[in-house]
Amino acid sequence: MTDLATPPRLPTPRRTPIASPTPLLVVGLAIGAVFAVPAVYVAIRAFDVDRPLDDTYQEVVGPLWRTVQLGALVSVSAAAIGTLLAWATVRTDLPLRRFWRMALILPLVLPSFVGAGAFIAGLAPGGIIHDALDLVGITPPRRFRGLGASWLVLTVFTYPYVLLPVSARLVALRSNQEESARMLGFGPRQAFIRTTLPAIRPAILAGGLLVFLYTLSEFGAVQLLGYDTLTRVVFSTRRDDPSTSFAAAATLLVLAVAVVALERRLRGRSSPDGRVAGVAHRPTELGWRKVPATLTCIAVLGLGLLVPVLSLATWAGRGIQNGTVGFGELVTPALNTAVVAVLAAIITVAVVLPIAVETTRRPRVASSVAAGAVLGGFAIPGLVIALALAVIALRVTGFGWLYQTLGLLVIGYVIHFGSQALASSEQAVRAVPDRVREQAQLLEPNAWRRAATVEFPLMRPGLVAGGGLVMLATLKELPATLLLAPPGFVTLATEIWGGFGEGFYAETGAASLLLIALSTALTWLLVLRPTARR
Amino acid sequence: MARDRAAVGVSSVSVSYVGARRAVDDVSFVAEPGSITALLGPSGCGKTSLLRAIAGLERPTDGAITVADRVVSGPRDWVKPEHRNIGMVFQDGALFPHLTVADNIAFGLKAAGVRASRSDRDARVAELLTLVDLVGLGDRLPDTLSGGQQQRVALARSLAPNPSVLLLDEPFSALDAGLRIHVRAEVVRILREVGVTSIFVTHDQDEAFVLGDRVAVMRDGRIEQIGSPDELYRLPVDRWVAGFVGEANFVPGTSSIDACCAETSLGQIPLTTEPISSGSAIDVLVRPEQILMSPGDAAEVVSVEYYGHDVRYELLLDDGTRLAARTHPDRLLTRGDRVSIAFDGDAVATVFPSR
Repeated sequence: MTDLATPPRLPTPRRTPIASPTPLLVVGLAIGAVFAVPAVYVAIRAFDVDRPLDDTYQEVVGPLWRTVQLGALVSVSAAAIGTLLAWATVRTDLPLRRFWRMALILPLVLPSFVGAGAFIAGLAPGGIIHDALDLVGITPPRRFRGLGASWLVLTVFTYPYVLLPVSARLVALRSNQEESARMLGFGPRQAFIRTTLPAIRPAILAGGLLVFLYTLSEFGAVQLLGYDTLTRVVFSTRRDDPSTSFAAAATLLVLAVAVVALERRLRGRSSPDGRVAGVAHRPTELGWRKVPATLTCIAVLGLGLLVPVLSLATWAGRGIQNGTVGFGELVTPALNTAVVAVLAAIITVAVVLPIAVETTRRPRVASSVAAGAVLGGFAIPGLVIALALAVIALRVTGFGWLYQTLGLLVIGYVIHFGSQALASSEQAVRAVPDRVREQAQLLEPNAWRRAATVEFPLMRPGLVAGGGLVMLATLKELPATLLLAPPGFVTLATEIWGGFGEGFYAETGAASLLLIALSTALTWLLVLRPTARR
Repeated sequence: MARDRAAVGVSSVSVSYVGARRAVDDVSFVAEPGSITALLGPSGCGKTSLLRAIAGLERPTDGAITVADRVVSGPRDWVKPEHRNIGMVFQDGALFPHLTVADNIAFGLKAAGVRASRSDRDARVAELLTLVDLVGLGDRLPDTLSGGQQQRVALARSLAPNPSVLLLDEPFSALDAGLRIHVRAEVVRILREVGVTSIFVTHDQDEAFVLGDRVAVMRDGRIEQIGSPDELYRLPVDRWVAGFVGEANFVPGTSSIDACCAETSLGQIPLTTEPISSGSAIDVLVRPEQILMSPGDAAEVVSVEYYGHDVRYELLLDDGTRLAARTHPDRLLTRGDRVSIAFDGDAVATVFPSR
């Protein structure tokens, strides 16, 4: 007989003690292990030499030097331009600076191989750069190739990687420090150098690192521009001379690790981000310098966006007029691109989520290791990951069924772009405050229903953002796609790559514009709109 | 490196921002050498803009500012902030996070025009660490210090180059309440020991009264009244100032025949010697602590707030007037008690025309 006076006993929520590993952590570690597989495999294969070391050395040393040279040059120039533009658009009274702050991010929408192809197409007879220079009376250069061309092209498409973090940091930084320095007797320039510059240094270094890693893994643009780097060696020797291929891949791996370590060292003690309610910045007055500053912005945006897009558009327009370009031909590659991008996004977010949960809610060494493996996936050039996966599928027993399947391509994307989803997923997990979870636990004993009605709705924006970033990255990816895509599976990127290689500028122009349009839409949603809100 | 203490003169200064109304509207005052002046007012009253104009971080649209008889801001003159020899402490300290405490303090000693050898600098830093009571913390980084310690480092840093004037912008508002009282006592001790002319901005009336030799109450860009804390409290120039610097009862009454007193529900109240016409309707400013209560039947106790050191009562008179009264908790009253009220005989009340 139940006593109606006594309230029913609710089951006490089980509190897992901090010390013991949860099933989620084990899953997370397993996933981290999978992310580490390509790097480990490359390292192992690199030692498996069946050629004299000297020969391999000869093949690799030239490209290695060229890779490092290009990486260093592009990092420095992109960092310089990015920092200068960040300062100009945030801290000065440059006219239309809010417009510039958005517009100068736009070169991100262009994959660098598309940009390189656009410049080449533009300089070819019939291209707009060619015709424009003709008009002014300058003989256009016969060839747009080599280190100079690669340096220019890569700088102009990668400076936003520095512009974004540095301007974010400048916006958040207190103005009081520069003012304090001024009250203590320093002029405006000295005050900037002594107080603001040290504060934005971590952002500059982080952006520079991203640019260097991007240059390391760059394949399409340097190929089109005829600059021989390590990625070329990996790609062209992978079938006939695998040991050289792996040697080059291992070298890329070592370079990536070295640069990450260098950046960590240079960053030193990073100062905590201060939040302050207070007076807004007083913009630095530029006076007559407004004119050269605005001209610089126009030039950078022109080279990074307008000229390439116009170049492609004129070729595509000509092709449509001549009837040589049919939009119907673009449907299949576009669909393929969309399908694989969405697949990759969903799987990546799902895969990374356990690790994000562990690192946010129960931070400890094991979860940081798993997170590190995921982040490492980004530092490793996509081509290297693809090589490792392809060879594993070919050689290692039991994985043969994966070779040249869409699944393997998606796995490659997941490993390479997992880090894009990780930061957003961690933010998504943080969007469910502990108190809310505990409250839900008390009111709804069923964990699955809790997840569906409380946790996932709160996490959704972050998860979608992470998925979006993965989609954007796969849209622009080329080398891994070339290596891993099933035969006959054409994406917009590979279609464009083939077209540029053959000199079919008209058809390639149309496909490029479509890719740029998709890329712009995603970039606007994921990067520009949140930046504008700030 | 001793310098003379300087006076600060502000003369008809106005500051406005693009497109907005004047943040500072025709303000004039003088801060005597070695004094501490408080700029007190609600947020948006222009006190910070005025402070920044004195510092040179904002440019006034009108008026002149002099420091030690030298015009630093005027229609034809402008001295850059770094050349004014003015120190400034910001709301959150604004310490340089990448430098140690000692390097922060020594920062101003490395500016152009300061000729100090390495040992001179070290000696000065040691002197200041002793002054602000942070000896031994020279090698620490700012983010390892507490809020109060950070503010003291900021103070030491501004004092290192021996400024002739020190400006402080809400220096204690970033600290929690308990800490605030302790830190501001320390700061005022340091300021008096150094003797530098100081001007600080606050919205906290307690702070202004405790620290300031003179307080300027500001509203909508203008100085409503400037004087000693006692002058402001007992002789406010208008109702708004009266209400801003403390709780105020405005008791209606009529001036007496010989115009020296007022007849009110509190009885006869002696007034300030300002000439007023007899027989006119006036409101008398009576502070809560000036109301005496005894058992009686003139008013009812409507609420009781016990603060420990005193008790605040709300009284409802039979004619509907509400008064606030504060007394010692010796004889604690309860809600519903009826009392008779009188004016504390010694104090002289201020009067305003009846609304």
